[in-house]
Amino acid sequence: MAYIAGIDVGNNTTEVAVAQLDPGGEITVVASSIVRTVGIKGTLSNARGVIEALDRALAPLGIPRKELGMILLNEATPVIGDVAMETITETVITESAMIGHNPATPGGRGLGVGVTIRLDRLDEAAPGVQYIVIVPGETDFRDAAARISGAMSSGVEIAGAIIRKDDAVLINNRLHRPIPIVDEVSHIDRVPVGMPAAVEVAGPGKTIDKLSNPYDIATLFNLDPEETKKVVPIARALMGTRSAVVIKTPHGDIEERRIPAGKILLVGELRKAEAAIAEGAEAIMAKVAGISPLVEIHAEPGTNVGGMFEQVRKVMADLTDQPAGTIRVRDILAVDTLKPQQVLGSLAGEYSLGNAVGLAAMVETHKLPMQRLARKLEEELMVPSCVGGVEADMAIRGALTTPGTKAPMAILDLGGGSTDASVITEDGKVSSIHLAGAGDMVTLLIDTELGLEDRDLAEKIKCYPLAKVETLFHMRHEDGSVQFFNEPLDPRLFGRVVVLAESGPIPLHTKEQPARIAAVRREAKKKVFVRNGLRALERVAPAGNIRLIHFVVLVGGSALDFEIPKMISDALVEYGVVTGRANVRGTEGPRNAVATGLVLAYAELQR
Amino acid sequence: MAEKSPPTIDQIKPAVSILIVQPVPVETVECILWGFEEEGIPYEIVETESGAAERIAKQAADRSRLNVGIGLSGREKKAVLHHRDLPEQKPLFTLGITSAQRRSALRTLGANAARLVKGEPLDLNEGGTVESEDRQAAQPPDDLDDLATIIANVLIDSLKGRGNPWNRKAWD
Repeated sequence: MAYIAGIDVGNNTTEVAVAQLDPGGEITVVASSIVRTVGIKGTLSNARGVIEALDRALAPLGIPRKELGMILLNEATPVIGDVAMETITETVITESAMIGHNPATPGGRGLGVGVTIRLDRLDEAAPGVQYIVIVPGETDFRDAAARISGAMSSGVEIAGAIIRKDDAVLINNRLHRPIPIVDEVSHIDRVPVGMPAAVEVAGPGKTIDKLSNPYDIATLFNLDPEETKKVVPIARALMGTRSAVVIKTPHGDIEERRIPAGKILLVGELRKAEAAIAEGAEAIMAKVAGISPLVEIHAEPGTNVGGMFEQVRKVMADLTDQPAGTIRVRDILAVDTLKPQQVLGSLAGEYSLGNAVGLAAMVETHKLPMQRLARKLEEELMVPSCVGGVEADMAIRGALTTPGTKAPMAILDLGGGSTDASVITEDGKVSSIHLAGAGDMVTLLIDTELGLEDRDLAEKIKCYPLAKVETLFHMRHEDGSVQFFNEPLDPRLFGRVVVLAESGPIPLHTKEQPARIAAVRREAKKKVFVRNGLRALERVAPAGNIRLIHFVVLVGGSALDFEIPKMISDALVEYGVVTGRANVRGTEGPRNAVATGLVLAYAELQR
Repeated sequence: MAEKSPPTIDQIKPAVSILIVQPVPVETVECILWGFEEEGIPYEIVETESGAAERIAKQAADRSRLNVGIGLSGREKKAVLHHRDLPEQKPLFTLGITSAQRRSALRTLGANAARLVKGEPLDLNEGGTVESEDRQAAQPPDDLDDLATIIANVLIDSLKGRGNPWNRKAWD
């Protein structure tokens, strides 16, 4: 009786299936394990992860490694994906011209228009002129209130105030007559003095309505049609805020710029087409679909997209010891998204939403050096090792151990770097396709759209549901259900939106509501996985018709996601396809398909 | 003074209660109140004869219709922020009120009490330590008077039953 091990080295995880092979060729899988892949898939550093995974699988069996009869590696698909975000529009405000933000507690209410003046210059105020007072950070609110009140009593007309600290309500409560006050303006020193300005504060639960309308801004500042066009980005950035300031500066210049992001050249088997990134994702993907099947994609050198393509090629070249020039980008996935950007010249950290295109690229080369890894394992473990089979074939073989499936069947492998689809016909013929864009792309979209600038956090938001901590003892989940706790929750979580990670709730430092964050998360998953799932199945389906596939089985890490399988199932139900998550060997769920396929294939050869 | 009947539930206005054992500098109380004012949450101040800071903070929370209370003890030189649902020994924040204490920290304590009512995220940069973190440092009250008060209060409470049952939030 011999033991053999099938090993699947993936982008993120290394999986092992250990099986017992009796002389008759009968095979029983007796153990499996999963560890994080060490190093980039296809490099010699993978060996450490492989050995760790083997030890974990063998430990419960009490078998030493050297008693293994054979180690089978997957012939890893030589596919590598990378993702990038290209901004195509941004709002530039040279010279400070607006403040629009949501301090928790602004003061007063209404609209005030006047000329900006520093608090300590109030005694120089001219009669008959309306003023907006600027209160710097070092001023105590009692002092500020006393001075403003004093000036008001001596006849100075004060229409509003802009202040550095969180003192708006305190100051307003101490004035004879309420005025709109915007507080927590971090760059108060950048507010220009002696300029016409408007301050607007809306009542609790309401949003401003004058300063978010370009024509009202034009009315307040006597703008001509040309100037009114230029304030549109300001008005747009101020929409939905509870308080705002607009200051008219003489040389102020606001514009929405389109950034040259570069062009890509799509080379198909029959035709060619050019697409500019600035046209947006829809236009790019329409062209990709029109050119399909793609042979290669070039990017304009010296542009952002050119730089990204170079990077992917270089990683692949290093990996395979091939010159970068011979490596070709085979597929791209473009997704439209919105990117919150710090407004240049902002006064209180405002941002505006710029348009951006997320790009995932995939390169394919001849072969990843898995042979090298096999040789290294053989030397280190003194166990015969070889490459046991092509990944896609093995995956579908493993997936077919899912109870209730039979050929013809398709699998969708939802990984981190690429979305792969394979189809097996009744007579056992397998064809497969690899497409750019998968889990990493979803993470990038979430990171970008929520303005997190933290990939790890975005990854957590992708993987786990949200909740809002409403009191010290309960949280409301995003589905509306409420969970109570016996012990008080950490005060750091109080009032916050949290991600319910396995390690415990992680607070998000954002004012966004859970519903909006969840919407961003779901959209990102749909834009990538549903679109790519359909794209991939169309390519492998008989006659390009998804209806001719009866069973679709989801494998790979993203198949474990709490909502992706349902999204894909929803999209495929119209095609009359049975869709579900794999349950490899009836026990493993969507994991271990390739490793299982490897030992099964080996056993078949022995018979 | 004529004996007054205790106010009924309808007469107690919703406010965060602040129980004070003097002497507490006026300036200290003022700073805390600014926190409430900026956040726009009402408060009521009640002076009491004696009691440990945590004890009076808990009492303040229990009597508040907003379930949040602050105890200020001039004797212990401590300000404690408490919530009705927390056990007495586990207040939310504790802050020293010596003259060296920063005014902004006191204001933050008040603002955090208000945010606790509003369900908004707390400011944790200032405004007291999270109690669990300096639990080890907690000492039994060395003042015999306080100890006597605590024992007396515990006895009274156990005799009359803790808190107003109709004030308590439904737990299901």
